[in-house]
Amino acid sequence: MSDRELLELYHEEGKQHYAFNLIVKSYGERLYWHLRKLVASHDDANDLLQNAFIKAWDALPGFREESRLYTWLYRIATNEALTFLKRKKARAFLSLTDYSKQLENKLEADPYFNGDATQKALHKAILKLPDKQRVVFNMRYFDEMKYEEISEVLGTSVGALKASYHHAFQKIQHSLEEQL
Amino acid sequence: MKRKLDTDQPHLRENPYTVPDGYFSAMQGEVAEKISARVNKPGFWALAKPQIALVSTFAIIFLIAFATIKIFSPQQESLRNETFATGSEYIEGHYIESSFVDFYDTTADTSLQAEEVDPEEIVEYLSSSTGLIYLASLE
Repeated sequence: MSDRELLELYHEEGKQHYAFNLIVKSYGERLYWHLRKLVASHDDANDLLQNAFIKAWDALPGFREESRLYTWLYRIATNEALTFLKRKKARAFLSLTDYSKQLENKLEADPYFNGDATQKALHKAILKLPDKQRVVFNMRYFDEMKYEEISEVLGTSVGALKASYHHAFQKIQHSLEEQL
Repeated sequence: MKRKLDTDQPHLRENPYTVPDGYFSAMQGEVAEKISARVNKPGFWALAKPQIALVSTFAIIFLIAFATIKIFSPQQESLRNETFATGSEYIEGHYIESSFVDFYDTTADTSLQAEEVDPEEIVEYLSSSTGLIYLASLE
């Protein structure tokens, strides 16, 4: 079902819940993986995903279809994750701990990580990146999104995104050289 | 020796994370449940909206009534706002047509002006008015 069909169904009398459940079914999995790569933990990714969908439900009556539904949902989920990471980092700063290190430890102990040593090293390196660089890198490297699409989601210029991806890539290469 | 990793290896782009069995269908159910709960509990604005609308309606009715009364009683309003002028300003402005009368102006009062009386008239008056002589004698 296309975005337009989903939204038309949503605007039909008494079909809001049904339409929204279809939206959750269509985009839930992709959004989950996006969040999971940002926060590493399954529980955190699950909480963020549910919060993002609740916010989307509240905001959907005002959705003006200026962007695609998926881009709009992606933006909500990304903002939710960035706010969460900012809060976690502030708490870690107060308790004099390094949040990136905490993320790495979570990955190390994660029972739902099936990657090999190289994949683990790569994801550890990604978790060391600054939050926004991590978002850009993941969207480009794993989701293979175009810079224009990433720009639409993050509201950042294509030039700035290219620079951000380049810096992230350099840092990851450097980190992997140290790990392997 | 440090080695450079080839990040273009296809398996590196694969997703190494997994989820518990049946997670996605359970998640969909949880989201649906949370959304239904939100529908049943109206927010603060939804509760406050009719109350605010009612108060606003009364306020508008009151203002219309007040404005109507004000518009249809212009004289009262003009008197309320006018500053009273002094007497002379009213006379100079011809608001009062009659001229001011000084009741203490004795020179203008003809009734009080002294007239010369003939002594013969006095004697004649006294002789004809015996009652007055009697009264004078009593003092």
